[in-house]
Amino acid sequence: MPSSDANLQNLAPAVVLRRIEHTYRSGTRALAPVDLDLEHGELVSIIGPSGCGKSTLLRIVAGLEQASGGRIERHIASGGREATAFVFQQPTLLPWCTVEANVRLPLDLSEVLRADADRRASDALGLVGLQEFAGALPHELSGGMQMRTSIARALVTTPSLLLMDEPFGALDELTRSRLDRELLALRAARGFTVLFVTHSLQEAVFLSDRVLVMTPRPGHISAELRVDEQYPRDDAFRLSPRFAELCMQLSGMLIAVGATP
Amino acid sequence: MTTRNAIRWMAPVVVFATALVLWEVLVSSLDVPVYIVPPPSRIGATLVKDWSLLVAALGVTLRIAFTALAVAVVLGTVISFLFVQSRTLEASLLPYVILLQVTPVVAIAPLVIIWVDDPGTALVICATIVALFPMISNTTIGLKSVDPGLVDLFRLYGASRWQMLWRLRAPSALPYFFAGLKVAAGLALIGAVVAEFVAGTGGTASGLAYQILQAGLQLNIPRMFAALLLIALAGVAMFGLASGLSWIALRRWHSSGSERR
Repeated sequence: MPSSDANLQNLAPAVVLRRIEHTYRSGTRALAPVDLDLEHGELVSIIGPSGCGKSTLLRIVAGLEQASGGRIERHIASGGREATAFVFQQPTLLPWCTVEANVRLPLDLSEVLRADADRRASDALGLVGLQEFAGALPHELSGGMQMRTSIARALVTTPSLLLMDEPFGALDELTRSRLDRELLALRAARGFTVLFVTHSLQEAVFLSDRVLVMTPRPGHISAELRVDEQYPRDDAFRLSPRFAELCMQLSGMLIAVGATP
Repeated sequence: MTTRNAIRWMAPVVVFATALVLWEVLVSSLDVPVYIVPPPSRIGATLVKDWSLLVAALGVTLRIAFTALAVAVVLGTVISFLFVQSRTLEASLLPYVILLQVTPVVAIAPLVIIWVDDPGTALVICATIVALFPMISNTTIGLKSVDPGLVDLFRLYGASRWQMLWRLRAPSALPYFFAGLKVAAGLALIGAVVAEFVAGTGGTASGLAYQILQAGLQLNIPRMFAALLLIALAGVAMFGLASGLSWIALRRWHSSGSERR
């Protein structure tokens, strides 16, 4: 698999969007033509006013929604559905299944043999530090732990592309910044590509290689901020003048598109 | 906590005992004849005296009610699954299901009794008609009330129609199914009793409703009350059984099951 990954990396970006447009059935235009290249291993955030179509864009990349126009290419390993994982705004867990069964679900759905699936689920739980809660039910966990379960489930198929739709938006600030750090650590270990939708500019700056700013509906990408800070990043980065400067720049870009953050 | 529990259990018992004493006192002090309102002591004595007769009758009525409930559960679940699988089927059949529901069973029962040779079967059919609707209506709503995020998740991992139904829709529907079962349990008994009344001597000539009819004709009012008491207790028992099953199935993960905490 790594060799084919390397080949793909030489060929093209992980995801290429060309003039992607979307109009809802109601006639509302959600997306004006959007162009986007997502390089292998890159972490790109999309930020924009609410209702600007950023979630729709993510769903189009995931294949959950069909764009009304434009072209999408996914150059990701194995090409199958399992190569892409999605983390929703809500943990979106099956309330009647244990944490372990929830994490194992993607494998169960593709009928991976039970022993193999169990091992991989337990590995994924280990990645997010939830081994000892394998037998718990979702409602017995805190919001942050539910989100970790959701991330473990996304990682259980070892995806090369992770799509995240405001995954930590409903969590408190402390939990959010801890999960941000964990996400970066996981990416460093696994090397997956991430497309991350958020409404927090601090989060976007902290996480991303690049932050893309979307305009209000119909959304298109109006500006790009490159975050030139090296990984690994930690809290020192959050406290640095550079961080504040980048946040201010991003804030200016958002104001320019008519969204006061 | 134990005091509060004790109050919860004791309060209805105290009300019942007080009502009985009041009843007994009023009936004897006002010299109410037994054929108008018998005193509780007399009803109790009748219950003991006619025990074998009444218990046999109760058995007959309960057998009809339980058979009808079982048929309604199986039929209702199957119909709901079909409705969810095919919108056309639902649109074509739902009006008739509603028609069957809104037509009083008292009006349908004579026909059923004429058409069906075996009186026992005729009564089961009548009681099933009454109990069927809440099963269909609740289970159908339940099968449709699935978290859209979870539907997306299943689609993302390429879940088959069968996996979607079995792993997602069916468990999501369980709380609704059990809510329907609680209603249907009571209705099955009501349906059985009403059908027995309509059938009269043309029925199985042995159920509790028949005993009430006979006792009424003979002005044996204490036996009427005793039979009435047994019907009421049977209804409570059936509801209790349905609630118990619901609690066992849902207590671990659904909020309706955890209210006793």
